Amino acid sequence: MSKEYWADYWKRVVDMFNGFDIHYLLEFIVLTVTFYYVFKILKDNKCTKVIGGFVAVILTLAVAISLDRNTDSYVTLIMIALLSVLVIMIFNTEIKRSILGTGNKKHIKKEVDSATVRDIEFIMDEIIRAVQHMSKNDIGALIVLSNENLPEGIISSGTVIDANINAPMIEAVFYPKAPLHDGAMIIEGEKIHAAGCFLPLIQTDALPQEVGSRHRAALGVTTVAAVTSIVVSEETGVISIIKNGEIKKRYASDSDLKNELSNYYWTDLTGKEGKSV
Amino acid sequence: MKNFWNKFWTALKTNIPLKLLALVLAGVCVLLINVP
Repeated sequence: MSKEYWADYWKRVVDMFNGFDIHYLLEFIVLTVTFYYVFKILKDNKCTKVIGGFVAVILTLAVAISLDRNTDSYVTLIMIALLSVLVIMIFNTEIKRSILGTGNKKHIKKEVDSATVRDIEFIMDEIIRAVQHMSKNDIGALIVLSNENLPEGIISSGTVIDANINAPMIEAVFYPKAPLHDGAMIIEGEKIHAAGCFLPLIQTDALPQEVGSRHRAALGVTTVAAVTSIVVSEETGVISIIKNGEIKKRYASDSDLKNELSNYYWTDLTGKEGKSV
Repeated sequence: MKNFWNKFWTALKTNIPLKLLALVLAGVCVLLINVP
């Protein structure tokens, strides 16, 4: 490339800024926001190498267009749009989960604020007591800790209870002959919101054979929504904690349950760190 | 109001390398599209 060519190119760049127009600024803002969110989706899904690919495509286009003035520069916009749509299509469930993950913090925050720390500790102890008891008696259970962020279809597939949380109530729902035992219990803050809810099952061959439909349902719901599931296996009585579409703890102990419930009540619902309300 | 600014600054301070990359690429694209 000759020196004159770049001097001429630089002159055209300066001319562009001299004739500054508001649409340049709008283009810049829209493109920055688009790039940032596409890169964030890729980074959150551990696909940082794809970001490199994205950058390489744009830079290659930049070189191609600056070398040949006849190339239509709107090829750039079309490429960006295509790549962004591709990323959105590939990560549609993850995007859906992050959008639903926001939940309704304000509503529950008010509820948690009005409750005393002792009330919440009591609720956590009751959940742990019920789960441990069901585990000892090999009663299958699936509890979803939600932040009002589940798709409406899941709640309407079950029965709305809106009951206070206590161990006998939880055990009564999952008692094998009870009408609502075959489904998930949805806990929202200080209430058992619904029971007998049907959840989307995760479809993958990567799971071991012993992972039954209850675990698959828990994996499925944590894939589409930012919720935490507690599963008690009917066959083995093993308690598992499932989050973000992964089995976070295969054999959860009392302290694991307590930690997870503390995270749910003190961080997820209030948006605050630690145990202060 | 103070809470809003705290949240704003926290959001601004996260993912700085990604934000810078997005800014640079957007700048490159604006040049590509608009330089005659």
